[in-house]
Amino acid sequence: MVCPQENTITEFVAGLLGPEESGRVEAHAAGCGACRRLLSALAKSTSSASATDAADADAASPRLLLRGALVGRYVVLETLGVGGTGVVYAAYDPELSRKVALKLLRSAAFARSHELRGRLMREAQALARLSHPNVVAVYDVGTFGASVFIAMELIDGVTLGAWLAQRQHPWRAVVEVFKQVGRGLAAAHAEGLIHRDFKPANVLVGRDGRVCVVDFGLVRSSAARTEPEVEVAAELAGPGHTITQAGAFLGTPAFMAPEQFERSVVDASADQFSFCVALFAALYQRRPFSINTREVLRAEAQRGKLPALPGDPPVPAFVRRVLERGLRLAPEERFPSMDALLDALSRDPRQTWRRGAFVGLGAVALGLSVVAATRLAGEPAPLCQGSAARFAAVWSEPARQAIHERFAASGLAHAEDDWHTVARTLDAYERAWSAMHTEACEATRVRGEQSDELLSLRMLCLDRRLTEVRTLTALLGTADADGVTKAVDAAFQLPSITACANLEALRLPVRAPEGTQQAAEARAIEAVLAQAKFLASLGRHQEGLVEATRAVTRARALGHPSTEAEALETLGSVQLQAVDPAAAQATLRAAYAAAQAGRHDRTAARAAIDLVFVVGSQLFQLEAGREWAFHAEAALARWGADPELEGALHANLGSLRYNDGDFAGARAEYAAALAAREQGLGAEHRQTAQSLELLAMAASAEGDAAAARDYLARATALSLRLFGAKHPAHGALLVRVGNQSMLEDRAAEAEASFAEALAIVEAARGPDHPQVALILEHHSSALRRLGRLHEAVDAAKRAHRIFAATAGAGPLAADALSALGNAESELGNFAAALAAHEQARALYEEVFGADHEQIGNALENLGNVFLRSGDFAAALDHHERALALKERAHGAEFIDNAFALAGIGEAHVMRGAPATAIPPLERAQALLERHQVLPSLLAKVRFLLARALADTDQRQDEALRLATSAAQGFRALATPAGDADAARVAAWLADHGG
Amino acid sequence: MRPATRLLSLLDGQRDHDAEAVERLLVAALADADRRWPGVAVDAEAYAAWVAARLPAGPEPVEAALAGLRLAELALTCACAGGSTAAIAAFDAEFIARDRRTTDDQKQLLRQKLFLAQGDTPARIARYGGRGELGRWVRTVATRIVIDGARPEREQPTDDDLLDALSVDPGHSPELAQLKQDARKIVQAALNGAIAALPARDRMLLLQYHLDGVGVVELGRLYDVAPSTISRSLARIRGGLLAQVRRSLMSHHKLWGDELERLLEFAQSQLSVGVIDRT
Repeated sequence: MVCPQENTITEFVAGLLGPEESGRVEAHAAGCGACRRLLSALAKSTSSASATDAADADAASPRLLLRGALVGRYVVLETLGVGGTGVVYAAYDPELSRKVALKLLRSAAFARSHELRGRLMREAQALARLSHPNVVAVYDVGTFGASVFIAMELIDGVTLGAWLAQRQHPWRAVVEVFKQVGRGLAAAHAEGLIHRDFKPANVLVGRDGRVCVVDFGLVRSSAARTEPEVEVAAELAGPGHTITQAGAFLGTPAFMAPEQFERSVVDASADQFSFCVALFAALYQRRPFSINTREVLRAEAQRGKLPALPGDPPVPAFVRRVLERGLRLAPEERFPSMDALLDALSRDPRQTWRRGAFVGLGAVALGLSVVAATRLAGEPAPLCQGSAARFAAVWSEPARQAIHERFAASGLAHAEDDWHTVARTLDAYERAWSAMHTEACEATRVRGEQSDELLSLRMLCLDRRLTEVRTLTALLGTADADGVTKAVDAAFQLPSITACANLEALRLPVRAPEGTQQAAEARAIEAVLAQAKFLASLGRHQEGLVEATRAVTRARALGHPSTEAEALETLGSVQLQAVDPAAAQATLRAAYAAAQAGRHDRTAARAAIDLVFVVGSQLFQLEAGREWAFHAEAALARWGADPELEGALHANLGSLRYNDGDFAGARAEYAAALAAREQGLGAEHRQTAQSLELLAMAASAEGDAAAARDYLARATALSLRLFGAKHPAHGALLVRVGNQSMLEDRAAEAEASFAEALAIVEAARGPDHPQVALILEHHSSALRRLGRLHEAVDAAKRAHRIFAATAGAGPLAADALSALGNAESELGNFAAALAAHEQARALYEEVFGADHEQIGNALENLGNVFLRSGDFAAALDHHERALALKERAHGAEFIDNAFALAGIGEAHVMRGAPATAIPPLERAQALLERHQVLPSLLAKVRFLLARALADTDQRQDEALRLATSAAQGFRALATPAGDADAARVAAWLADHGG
Repeated sequence: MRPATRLLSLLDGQRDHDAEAVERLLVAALADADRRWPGVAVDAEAYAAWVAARLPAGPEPVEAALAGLRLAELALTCACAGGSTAAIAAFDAEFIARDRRTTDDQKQLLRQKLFLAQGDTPARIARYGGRGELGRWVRTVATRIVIDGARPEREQPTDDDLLDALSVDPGHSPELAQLKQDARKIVQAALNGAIAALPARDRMLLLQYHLDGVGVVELGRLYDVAPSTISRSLARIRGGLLAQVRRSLMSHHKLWGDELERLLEFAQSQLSVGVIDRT
């Protein structure tokens, strides 16, 4: 679409075009913003000069900002005054931690022209160079939307106009104040700056007596003054304004020098004239000229005489002579400079008063009241308003669609469920974020109960959360199949919003780097860290490591300890997830040190918490792990209540205790983790589900089957809500449920659980995924227990095939071989069974070394085959070696010892040494009774013990009682094998008179 | 060669003409130009060619077509295009330097555009067609330069710009602010759909009035109708918009009852603003 030529536009505006051509122009301009604005501008410029420009007036009229609004880096505190050129606010400068006065110059002209804005800014910057006690210090100049703002010294006091109006001051006091004013003007003139709008309203009298000239928005550099400069001023006022209307910009007519009316070149002597008008009015309570029009001024000043004042107040003649000269019509007849004027004003021939004798300056001023602060209602602060939109821009409709499509394209059975949970989680996050944003805004702005500094900190915190959301949504939009599967986990990795309300913590001295560039770099690094974190939680560990390493390098270059600590902590956490515990330990230690150096307690706590897991549970250095827990607790205590971190610490401590065999302790920690997470993260959180699983695991290990089942049921229900029924996570939980059933010898239930898990995970991850093999292995045991031996062999063989093809899965392949050996053994294929177990043992030894407890399991399995095949000496040898390894690993009271003890007892019974069998069997029985698990093993041990007792002719009654209880135990299993065993015991009982 | 002869020869004699009348017009124009801009020499033959190239096509005789052109101003632009320093100085003094609405930098830019060829693009002065006043044409070019210079990144007003322009808070109440946040998206979508569907003139009126701040008097002058007609049109457009918004809210957003009324009230508050003030 080509824009119409200027000829056509001109003819359109002049009404010279025919209807058809006009229509074309209109149709074009309706869709072309530039041409529409061109027509609008031309339409306005053809209007007569008297027509008021409503739009310009509108745009220029000050809309006041509310408390808490941000202008540049400044936080608005309150409105100090509204003037013709703009609004003055008190504001807080968070960077330098001081209050400033913020003048916001608004004009429609600024909106129209970048150039005008730029020029004004250059002028204000020139002012910033000026440093004089009687000139307000200009700190900073910048643009705010279409406006220009000037940050300057905030002076606690009143305007000179208000000071003069308070009461009648003695002439000496007035002259003294004006001399200070004059010195300020002289200093500005010396820098080539002319005020051009000097009047009492532009002077502040501080409580401390200091007098300051302000309002330099209008000052023009005299060095650069040319004709166009004047036109710029006219332009600022808006086209079509008469010069009097432009007075707000050019000066205030009442105080203006006559040459300013002419719009001819003005110099410092114009300020001198204005100064004298003000001094005259201050001394005589009337202005030197009757009416403030240029004609009257010209006529009266022409006469060169000041009005004679009946009943003159006692103003000395020398002061009056100064005024007469300063108020001359011709600039060249006035004093050659402000300094000369001040000199004359100080030459009091009588010298009857002492300098500084006057009082009354500070005592009366109560706070600033430049102009009554009228705070306009309306216009909700932009800070609050933008919040919802800002989140919506990140978690937008297109972003949702992209992610949803990506998930759908993965073709995974659980993709749709995942999408719903991710969407729900992000929606909830959005609600929490927006609510917090509003709350933070209102706390400062509406209720005024929160400092502006705190507001900034909270906003920064919320901003960081938004960066994380942005990173996550971007990654989800490009997720692969594995990423889709892990998406829910990743979504729950978003840090909690509540931390942004942790006021104590926000106040901690973690300072952003000095300097804007450094601060921007720190923010950029944070974004990279979020990227690394989410890459890792989506399973893309390598990419995550690369990003995190990059962030560490950049953070080191930045030299900001807390940023460096955060970068290191993230890298360590990614290494932890990628299961590289040695690297993770080194990185996290460095992170902890850097966090301590940067006084970043939260990062120190996180690093220490991660280290509890890495050192205690991945590197199995329990003592060192406990030490880190100690450091973590200290850092957390300094940081303050943080349910997220507390939950993590308890969970990691639980794992440490679990690995230590302290299941009761582990359970208590896991329960504490659950409580912290339910409180801090809510009941429907991924980590809450994880805590429930861990609790079930500990309860189960402790032998509290009922509690374990209860936790598992809760975890399953929650997991179904979070992941749906088709997600591998649900499959993993079913496996846990199945394992618990196995522990309780409920093989049929276990088999059902495993079969269901198998179906889910095969559908979600394909038939050759290692998770499938894991389930197959469990399935094999259940099938074997149910007597479905051929199926058990097939399942175990398949599991072994998958693991054997998976790099680094040696121990898992060995597990599968063990399952295979067990099934073959029950089928009576002892050679095959021994071969499988032997292969498993070799694999374990290769991975763990010859003394590891895992070797014990393999030895036990071998011993059991020997028992069945009748080689009791070999059986005894293997079980005894197994027991030694396990006792060394976990002590004498470890529940697993029961297997080896039962094997030893059985071997002794079978080889005809019943007396030797009794002690190990009694130990096994005690262990099993205490732990209330493995009823089938308990029944078997009791029967063996009964036989040993009977064979040694000892405690016959007890033997019968044990056999009876064994028979009951076997029957209670309700399995074919159990029934067969029960029948054997019954037969034995019948033989032994039971 | 007489200017008329030169001009007519360039037209291939295809068109009805009265050679004498043409000659009178051209000579008078040159005299007129000489009076208005003394010291500016215009080459008569070049001038004839200049005018011939700008003669509007049509059935009317040449002298009639010429009568519709600002021949003296064309003489000045012809001399400027020919590089005459005196002509450019005269042009500058009358049409550029005196314009208070443009800044120095903009004036400089305007001079460059008008008098300097840029690559293959001839100097802009050659584009003056002679039908509108030269002063207004210069003004159009200058305004376009200003607008292009200040052209925002987005050419089209965004939804937000428009809603902001349409909305002035009629007294602040937290409730309204809340509603505004809730409703903004919905109303915005409905409103934008409705605005996009307006006829060009209606859309222009609405945007110029609300977005560019052109008053009804000026709009009336621009479209050559009475200001009251503009006011009525604006009222009609807004009424139509509101009805469209109502339909859209009901059909697309499935809103009814209290909620619909609240939103409509809000939409109305967005539309009714400022009308009274600016008429």
